Amino acid sequence: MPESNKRPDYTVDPIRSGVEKEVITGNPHIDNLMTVVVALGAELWASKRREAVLEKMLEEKGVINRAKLEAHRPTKAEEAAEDEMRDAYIKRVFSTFTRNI
Amino acid sequence: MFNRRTVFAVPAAAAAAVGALTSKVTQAATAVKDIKVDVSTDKEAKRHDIHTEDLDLNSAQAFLTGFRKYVARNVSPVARSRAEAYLASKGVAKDKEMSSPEAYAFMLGDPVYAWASRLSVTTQQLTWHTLVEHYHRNADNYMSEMEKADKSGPGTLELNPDLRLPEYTKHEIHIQPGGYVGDAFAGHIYHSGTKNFYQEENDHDEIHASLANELRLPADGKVTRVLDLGCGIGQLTTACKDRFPQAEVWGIDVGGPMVRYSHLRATKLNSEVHFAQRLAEDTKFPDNHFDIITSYIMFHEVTQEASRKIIAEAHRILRPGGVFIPYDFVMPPKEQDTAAGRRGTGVVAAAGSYAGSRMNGEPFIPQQSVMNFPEEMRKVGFTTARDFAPVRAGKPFTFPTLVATKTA
Ligand SMILES: C[S@@+](CC[C@H](N)C(=O)[O-])C[C@H]1O[C@@H](n2cnc3c(N)ncnc32)[C@H](O)[C@@H]1O
Repeated sequence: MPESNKRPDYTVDPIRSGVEKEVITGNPHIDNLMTVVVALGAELWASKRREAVLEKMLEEKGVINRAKLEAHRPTKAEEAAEDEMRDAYIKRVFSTFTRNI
Repeated sequence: MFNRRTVFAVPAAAAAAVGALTSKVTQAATAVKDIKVDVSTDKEAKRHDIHTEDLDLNSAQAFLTGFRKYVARNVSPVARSRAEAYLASKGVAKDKEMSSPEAYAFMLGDPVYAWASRLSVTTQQLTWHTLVEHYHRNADNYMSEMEKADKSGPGTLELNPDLRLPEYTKHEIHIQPGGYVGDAFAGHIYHSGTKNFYQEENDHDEIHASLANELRLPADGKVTRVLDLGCGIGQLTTACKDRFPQAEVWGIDVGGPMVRYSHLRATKLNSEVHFAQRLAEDTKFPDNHFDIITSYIMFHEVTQEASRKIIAEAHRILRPGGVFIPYDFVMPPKEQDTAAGRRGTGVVAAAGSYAGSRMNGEPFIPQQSVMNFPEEMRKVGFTTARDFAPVRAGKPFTFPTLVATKTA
């Protein structure tokens, strides 16, 4: 449990909207898939943007080496960190499949 | 007076601060400054901005803002353009009487309508979920920042954990997870999320600045105390302080996390305003206290019953000659307009009303849009006037001004 849970946070139990249980297209599979597709759109855009920002910064500094980039192999520790990021990413994009309608 | 179990008042308790400020402001002539939002300098541009240091989150939010616009401008119009043909194909007259849930269910039979609706809900859900994830992942930092601000000035903060919240205030309005009362970071999440809702038109509180600029003054021009009801994250509250620098300015809201974030934000802006977790229908202020009371998009989120109480309370705490200026979508722009007339009639309008209220967590819009606010105001002793020139508060947002004056 995060430490913050022990601090006063001035909340009370809300009344839930329940909108996540609504099936709009008539088929819950399609509802889920559409949400996943939009979430992926957001992820992809974030990724493209980060890449563009990075490349710009690296170019400015003259540090970018495309051949080296393509040949990149992570270390064990880097790999573990990447896996953690990947798992969080999967949860973010695909958690709609866990909804209990 | 009110039992303030938790009072963070700087430098003294809020009650004492009221007295001190009052004597200071009554001596001064009313200063009114028109706010100009000038974002041409970097410093000013960043003043109100909520900018997390999370590039992916910012990119995801930017994507969702773009996607929301795209759905509203490109996808939903396709559904609307086919609606008549769809109804005809089903042999249903377009002005057939249907309840709004029935009409919505019927319209979902058109796949384009269904996916437009699905995409709108999805965009809203993803906007909130990405923000909730960010603020909770960084909970310790954000919590520490709030705790530090709780005890800082120049303004004051009053939290009332023992306040009994009416049930209607606990809904997840706009399907924001936890609503205004159930998430420690409700204010942060609301601020970031409404940046998306305003489609980049309010990044620097431009809308709140224009609403503050449009506030009508009491006839005698005296403005020493101003109150913002349902202040949310205090954007109109700080704008009021900018407009009336010498006045004592208060913002109250039912949500503890909302006023807490308001105070944090005001502290960052170095704005001397006072926030309290209190109910608009039971403000604990003395009779005849304020010169101007305002509220922005609060009424459509409360019940009719609560609205009547809030109107009576505003009348009680306004001084004779004082003005109450609520801004909301549901205020009739013209006396003779009925809400149903404004919303439009027929199957498509009824379906749209259900989509807007049920699917976007706005349970009270249907009952509020049939309430005659000017009439309710007159019942408690206000005189009312409407300014038919709408306040142009950013491109998609215009509000008719409803000015209620407590007779002198
Ligand atoms: C849509 S928000 C608007 C907030 C703010 N005025 C703004 O400019 O964004 C409505 C606010 O009204 C508050 N509210 C609802 N009912 C209330 C009540 N009875 N007393 C005080 N605040 C209330 C909610 O907690 C919420 O922060």
